[in-house]
Amino acid sequence: MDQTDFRDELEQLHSASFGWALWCCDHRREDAEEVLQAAYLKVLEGAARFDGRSSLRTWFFAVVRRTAWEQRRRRWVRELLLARWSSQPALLATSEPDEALSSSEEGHALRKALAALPTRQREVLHLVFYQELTIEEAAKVLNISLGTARTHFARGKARLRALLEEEARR
Amino acid sequence: MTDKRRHSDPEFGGSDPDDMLRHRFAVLRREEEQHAPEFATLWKPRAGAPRRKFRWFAATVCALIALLAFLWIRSAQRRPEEIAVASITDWKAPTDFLLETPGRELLRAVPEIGQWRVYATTPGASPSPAGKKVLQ
Repeated sequence: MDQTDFRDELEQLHSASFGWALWCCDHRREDAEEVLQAAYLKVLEGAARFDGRSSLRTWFFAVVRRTAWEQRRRRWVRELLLARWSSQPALLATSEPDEALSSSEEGHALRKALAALPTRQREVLHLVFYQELTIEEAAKVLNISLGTARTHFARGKARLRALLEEEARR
Repeated sequence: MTDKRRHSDPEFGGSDPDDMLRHRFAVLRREEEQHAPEFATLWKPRAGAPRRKFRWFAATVCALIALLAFLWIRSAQRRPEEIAVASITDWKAPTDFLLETPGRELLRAVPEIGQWRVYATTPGASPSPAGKKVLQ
């Protein structure tokens, strides 16, 4: 794929990628932007290369997820070291989720319900419903087997429905 | 996958409860996409290449440290061979001579008939010619 075509493809994916980065960073907008920029840099510098084994979206989402994980780990180590040197407790959650991202009550309720789910279930549901990927594609992004992804999808869906119904009854 | 296929795929979930979830996620997506930053602001190469230079520097330093550590470990392993330490089996007590009894050589060697043997290893003891006998 030509560099310009590649750039165009990623630009088309940009808002979806930002959405995925947001979810990988627990809806912290600044972190999501940082992660997405780091993922783009990986592509630009050749640290992440698309080999065509999966779709571009699947591949790039996996890059974003890995980058978010690396950033989280780096931050955790840095804060742990700082806490040790300054003998003060580490502040692992540096910033709160950005509430302004969803203005409607519906969106807010969904985010709240999703926050109560285990990470894997939340990720599968996001990729399938939000990003409109198939379960197989979601499994590739998350680097898990199809069977595992199906299980997370089914359990997450049931739990999410129950949580939303519970929220509606209040 | 097209939307039509997605909605008809039972695995994907074409049933009503799934549509409800899909609708809610779509609302959320629309809201969040409004806050997405411009692509051009994030898609930009790093200014210069100091990071790459730093990487090379860090790699060289690491390699040097590893080499020095290897050499130090090797020299430390050689050291015991070089240092001459008396073996415990070679050591002799200064009072060992007290345990040497006269004539103990007689008990260690089988005498040969017709031959004399002078046993004069015990310090201060000299064989007396009168004591020499030919064993018949």
